[in-house]
Amino acid sequence: MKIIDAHCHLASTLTTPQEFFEGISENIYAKYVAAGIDAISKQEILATIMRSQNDHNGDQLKTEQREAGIYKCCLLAPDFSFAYEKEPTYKQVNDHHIAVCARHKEHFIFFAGVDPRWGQPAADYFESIVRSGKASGFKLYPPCGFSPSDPICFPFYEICAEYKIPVLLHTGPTSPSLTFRYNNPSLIDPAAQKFGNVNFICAHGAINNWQEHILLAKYRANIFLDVSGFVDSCTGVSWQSHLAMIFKCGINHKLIFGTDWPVFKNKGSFSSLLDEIYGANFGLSASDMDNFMFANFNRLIQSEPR
Amino acid sequence: MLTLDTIDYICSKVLKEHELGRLTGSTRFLQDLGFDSMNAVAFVIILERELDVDLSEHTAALTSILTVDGLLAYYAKNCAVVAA
Repeated sequence: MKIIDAHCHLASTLTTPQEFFEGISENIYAKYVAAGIDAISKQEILATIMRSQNDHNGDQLKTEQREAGIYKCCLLAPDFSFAYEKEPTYKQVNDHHIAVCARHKEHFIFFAGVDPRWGQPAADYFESIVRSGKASGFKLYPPCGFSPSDPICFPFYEICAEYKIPVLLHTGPTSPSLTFRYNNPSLIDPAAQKFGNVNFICAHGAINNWQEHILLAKYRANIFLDVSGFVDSCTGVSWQSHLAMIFKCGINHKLIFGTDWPVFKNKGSFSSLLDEIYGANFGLSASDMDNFMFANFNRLIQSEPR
Repeated sequence: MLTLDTIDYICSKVLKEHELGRLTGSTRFLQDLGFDSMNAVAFVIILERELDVDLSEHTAALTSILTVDGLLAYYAKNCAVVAA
């Protein structure tokens, strides 16, 4: 069975600024303090996270995925440069991803990320890399401070429509150094309705705010959900139980497998994760399992009809 | 060098209820000590500090090891170069 991991990030300090991880360290520290683990400082947690961001060329990610039987991986390149007002710039981030995809062209594709508030020059840059076939989709990160249905996003959606590529947007919580104001699923609906010829993938949509996302995916033809982050979900049940429930919602043609690596990196290998997925009793037909692990996402990036 | 005593000491730092001296080679981190992913990562952070090593390449493997003997064996086999 072919497997595409549709949601991964480069674990690299070249593409993600320290501010993003500072927020994450705060949350881990609060958890340790509550658990009585007082021997670790916030600075140690941050330093550990930053040191783990050392797979700059994706070599480790590709090796681990190939060992596990993952056939292809989509790297997502969020642009934090507008929100944090610092480098790496969107060009640096995307150009680096292009280089990584060229280095491992048999394994990686990528969705280019640009904060739409950078305006027309950024849209021109985005179009140039889409036109040259270097990007397979558009990665949007609303927690940087904008709604995915704000008209500032529309020039980018028009490019996606023209080149028949999907948009993937982050939904739900993120680093607390960014805003949670724009994580509500309904914020995507005006844009999805207006751009009916563009496919929108709600990242983490089957996990975060999942009830609302499922309704959106069920009744809005061009909205899809990925399950990334499922191993660390806040659903109140095991991820196996949660996915089993999601698979009974009648949207198996809309669900996309993704891990959100390197977020789950400390919880085991890709091989052990896949063993658990295939060992779980989801009650899926072979066809539905293939759609979930491969075909649903592959259709979107191949520009085939929905 | 990683020893059972070092592991025992680190366990006392990441588990409030851990009693020193009760650890054996067959002790299971998950079932016997009640480790979760948070304890596991804290364990690796303190392990790095105690042995003055960088284990970032090994974190995923280390946090999925089941027993104390398993950890000692993995460390001896894979982390000796890091520690040297």
